[in-house]
Amino acid sequence: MNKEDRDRALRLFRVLAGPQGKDADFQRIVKASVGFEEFRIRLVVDGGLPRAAEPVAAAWRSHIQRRATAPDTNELMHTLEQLAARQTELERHLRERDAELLDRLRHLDTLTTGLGELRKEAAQLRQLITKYRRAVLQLAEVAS
Amino acid sequence: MKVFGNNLLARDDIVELYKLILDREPESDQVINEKRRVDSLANVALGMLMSEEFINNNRDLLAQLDLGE
Repeated sequence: MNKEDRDRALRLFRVLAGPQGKDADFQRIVKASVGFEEFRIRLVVDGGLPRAAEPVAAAWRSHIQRRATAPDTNELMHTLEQLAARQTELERHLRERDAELLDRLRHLDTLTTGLGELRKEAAQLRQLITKYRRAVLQLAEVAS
Repeated sequence: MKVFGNNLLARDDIVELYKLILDREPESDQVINEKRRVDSLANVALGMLMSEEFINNNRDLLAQLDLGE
């Protein structure tokens, strides 16, 4: 804790502990605290203050317990925003995949059409070959 | 701690407590004057420490620290 925070801590200690406040208690709480914000809380909880300070710690505990069992509105809103962002991201991903799939289907359709035409041509060629074979056989018979 | 003849707490002490506990200046003279009528500066400080404002400002720290039984 820096000097400015230490001065503030001492001032608050004097207000809350009064003239009976022990310097050893002050030193102990200062040592245990990372900064003035933590000191304020430790002072109330463990600062050897008069009994009048007890309801403060009780109110804090009650608040923390309530919060642990029932998440507050801000937390729910934050979760909701995260879910909405995730949904938007998934929908964008889905649209991209849809477009990609459509392209592939179009390509497949083109290939299928081309394959049909090739099969048709092959069948015509087979018929032609059969026809020529018959003609060749007839010619062979005539020649013999 | 300065206490005036009519038992009002000192204005400067109230303003200082606002800064020490709530990290801000008092919002109006009215709230300062109301708190000047409290019987002791310690009770003004305890009231601020128990306020929703203090709890909300320090909720993360309160959740982290051991607040005892």
